[in-house]
Amino acid sequence: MIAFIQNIYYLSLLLLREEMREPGWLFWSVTFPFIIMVALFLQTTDSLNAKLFPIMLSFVSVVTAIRSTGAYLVGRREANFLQAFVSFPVAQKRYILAQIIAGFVFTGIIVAAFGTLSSLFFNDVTITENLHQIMRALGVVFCVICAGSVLNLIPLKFQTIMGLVTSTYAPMLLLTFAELIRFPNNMALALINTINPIAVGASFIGNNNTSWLVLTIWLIVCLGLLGATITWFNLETRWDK
Amino acid sequence: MKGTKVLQSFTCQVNALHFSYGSKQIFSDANFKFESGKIYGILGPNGIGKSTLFNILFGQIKTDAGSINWQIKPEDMFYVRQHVSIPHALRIGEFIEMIFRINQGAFSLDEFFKSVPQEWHVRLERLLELTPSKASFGDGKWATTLAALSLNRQFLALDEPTAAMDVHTRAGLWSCITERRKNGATILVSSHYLEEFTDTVDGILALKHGKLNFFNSVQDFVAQTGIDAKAKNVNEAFMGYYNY
Repeated sequence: MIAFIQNIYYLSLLLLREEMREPGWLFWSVTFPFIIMVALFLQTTDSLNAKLFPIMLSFVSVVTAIRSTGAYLVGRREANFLQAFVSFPVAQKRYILAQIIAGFVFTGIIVAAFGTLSSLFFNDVTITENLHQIMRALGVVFCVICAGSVLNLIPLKFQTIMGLVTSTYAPMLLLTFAELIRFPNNMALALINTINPIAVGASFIGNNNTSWLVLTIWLIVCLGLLGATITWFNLETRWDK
Repeated sequence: MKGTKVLQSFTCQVNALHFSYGSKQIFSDANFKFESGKIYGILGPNGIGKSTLFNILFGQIKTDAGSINWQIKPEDMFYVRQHVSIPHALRIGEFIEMIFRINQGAFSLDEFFKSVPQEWHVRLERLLELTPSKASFGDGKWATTLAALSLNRQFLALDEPTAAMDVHTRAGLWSCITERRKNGATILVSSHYLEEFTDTVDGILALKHGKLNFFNSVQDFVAQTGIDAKAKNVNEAFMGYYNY
């Protein structure tokens, strides 16, 4: 068991290192969310309150999480990496587990950094509230990473379309557009929920009034998506015994 | 390769294999049996279906008909494709570590080096520090193939492992491949350098008209196919066999 954990730890570190060396990571994981956060801050200076904070934080976490696991695995499938080097079920489990951990840690670092940064802007948010919201945001990150893996359910024959969708960050841009027009009248909420079901969960978890039942159901759905993804991997690299 | 345990024997029976890409038939009632502890070379011109056979054997392409009966588990096999795509953000050493951690569940650099001939250590050490963009394609493939050989699998498939390599490296890699046979591994190798199969393989599979024709050795291939073609060497026999 110790050897297994040690292996996953080092594999996660490798994947994390790879993620952070990607040419676009600084922009998509730091610059882009920062621009969005500043834009949202400027949009809402008149009605600034603590409730805005979790929404913003959740949004940033969603952006970074979409950047990580889902798109990463799709990219790997396109490059035939999974078929070539992750070809049997045990290897798939090791790889996916390490990828989820790496995605979680990577996004967690970004979210924590932005959470700390955000507290400088919001004078009415206490340190306790800030930590609390960061914890909630990490919950969002985990769910989004699980849900993001659903991208891999798309068959490989559509990989060009998926490559276009994921590598051009269309979901993020749509999300941005929706969020930016969301605040004046909340009309965009429906749109964002329509185009990106992941955001539904993010909104739930980001909302302090959400019941534990709803959160639990959402978590189960996300884990179900992850399970479906792993099953699909098995089918994709099926073995004619 | 040193430091590898002796593997258990097994067989793999390929029965009545049929496969086609649209109207182009690749395999038609192809039959063969792989036995453990042997090296099989695959011959055939470009596009005849050598890589397709690898993909079929590894379940990555579904056959139209026929069966493949493995007596070993998927985790006892490994396949190095013709085109190895090393992630550009990783150094080659990190990539090899990733292969081991994913497929073996552990990695030890010392153990990896122990499995590689001493004369290559300096070159390998230098190569492991490079990113794929700074290393040649041949070097990347060389390192990946060495890693695959070190994985201690019962069945290894190497699709043109020596492509883009210099003569010295090719000879060295073949000595590693034949060394793995001593441990009981079965290795299926495709190559366009036919002279590589001389005194190295235990059998040659020549793909022609959708069939897998078996020859005991290069000499056998030349003898059986080269007489009619008046071949003087293996390359001429190949040309004659495929009606060039």
